[in-house]
Amino acid sequence: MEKDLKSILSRIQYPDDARVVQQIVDQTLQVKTRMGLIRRKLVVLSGKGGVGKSMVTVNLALAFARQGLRVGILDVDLNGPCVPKMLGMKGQRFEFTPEGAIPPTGPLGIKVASMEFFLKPDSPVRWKGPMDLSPVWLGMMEMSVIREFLADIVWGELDLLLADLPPGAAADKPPAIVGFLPELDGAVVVTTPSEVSTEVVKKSIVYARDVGIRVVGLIENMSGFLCPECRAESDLFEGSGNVQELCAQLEVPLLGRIPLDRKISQACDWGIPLLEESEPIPGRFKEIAEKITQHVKMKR
Amino acid sequence: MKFVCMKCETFMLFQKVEKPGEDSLGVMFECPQCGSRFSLVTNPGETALVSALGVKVGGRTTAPEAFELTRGTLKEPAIDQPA
Repeated sequence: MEKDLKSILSRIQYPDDARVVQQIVDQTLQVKTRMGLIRRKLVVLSGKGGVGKSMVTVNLALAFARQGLRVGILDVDLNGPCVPKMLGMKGQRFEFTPEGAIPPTGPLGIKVASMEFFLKPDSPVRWKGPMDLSPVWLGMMEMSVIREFLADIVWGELDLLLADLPPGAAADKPPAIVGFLPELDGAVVVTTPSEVSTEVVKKSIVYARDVGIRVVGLIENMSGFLCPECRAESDLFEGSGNVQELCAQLEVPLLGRIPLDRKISQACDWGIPLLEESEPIPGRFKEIAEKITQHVKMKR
Repeated sequence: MKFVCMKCETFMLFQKVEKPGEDSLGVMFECPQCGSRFSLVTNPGETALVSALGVKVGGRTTAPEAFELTRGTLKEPAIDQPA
C-alpha cells in the first residue's frame, strides 16, 4: 500500500539538524536587539525616484539633531546611496569590531550607515554571483544585505532612526523593511507637485497601509521655486497648491512644503549641509520635525 | 527542505556538507533508522542561492562577522574582506 506522506509528516517532528532555521532565528533576534535600543524608527519613502527622498531624509535628520535628539540615518538605497555625499561623509568607512560595525558620525553627531561606505570611489555595487539567475539571486542577496545593515551596525542608543528607502512603491524593499524593522513608528512620504508624482504616491500610501505601515504624513518637495535674490516663492508645476486636496483625499497630514532652493541644492552637492535654522529651508524642516514629533510623540 | 525516509517514515538527518567541486555543495543525509544515505548536490546557481541567505548549512562554530555576506560578495569592495 502506498504510504501517505501527509499522514507521515503529521506524526514526525521536524528537526533543525542542519541548523539553518536556528541561524535565521538568530539573525532575526540580532535585528531585534539592535533596534531595541532605538526609541523611534521612521522610513522615508516615495512612489518614484527623483522626488528628493534623500535630501528630505538628511534635512529631517539635521532638524531633529538640532533639537538635541540622537539621530541615525540608514541609507537603504543600496544601488544609489547618496546620503554620505550630502553630509560630506564620502570616503568614510565603518569601523569593524567584535560587537559589530560602528557607523561613521556626521554633522551634529548624526550616525550614518550606507552602502557607499563599502565602495571604492565612483564604483557601482557589483556582486560576485550567478548572472543567469540574477533576478532571483539578486533579490535574495539584497534582502540579506539589508538584514545585515539592520543587524550588524552598532547604533547604540538612538532617539530616532530614519531609513531612506529606494524608489518604488511596489518594490520588494518596503515590505522587507517592514518585516525586518520591529515596531516601525511610521512612514514619511515624499512627493512633488507634478501629477505624475502624485498619481504614483497615492499608490505608495495605499501600499504602505496594506503592509501595515502607518503614514505619518506627506512632504511636498519642489513645491515651488525660491528666488535666490529676493527669496520670493513662485510655482513651478501645474499642480502646485493641490497637495492639500491630495492629503484630504488620502486622509494624510501635510507635514510641509519645500521649495527648490539653490542653497539647499548646493549644500547637498557640496556635502556642506545647511545648519542655520534662520535659513528658509532648514526653517521649513524645523516645522516639519515639530509636526512629526506631535504625531509620533518623540522625545528624549 | 527536509527529506523523509519513506521506508522508515522518519526524517533523514543532516550528516555533513562538503564541496565536491567548484561552486557546488554536497549535503549528506542519513536515515537514523535504516542507515540509508544520500547526498544532495547543488549546482553553482543553487549554491549561490543558499549563500545569499547568509547561513552556513550544518551550523556555525563561530558567530558571523559583521557584514560577512556583504563584504564577502561585493566584487570590488573598498575595504578588506573578512578572513
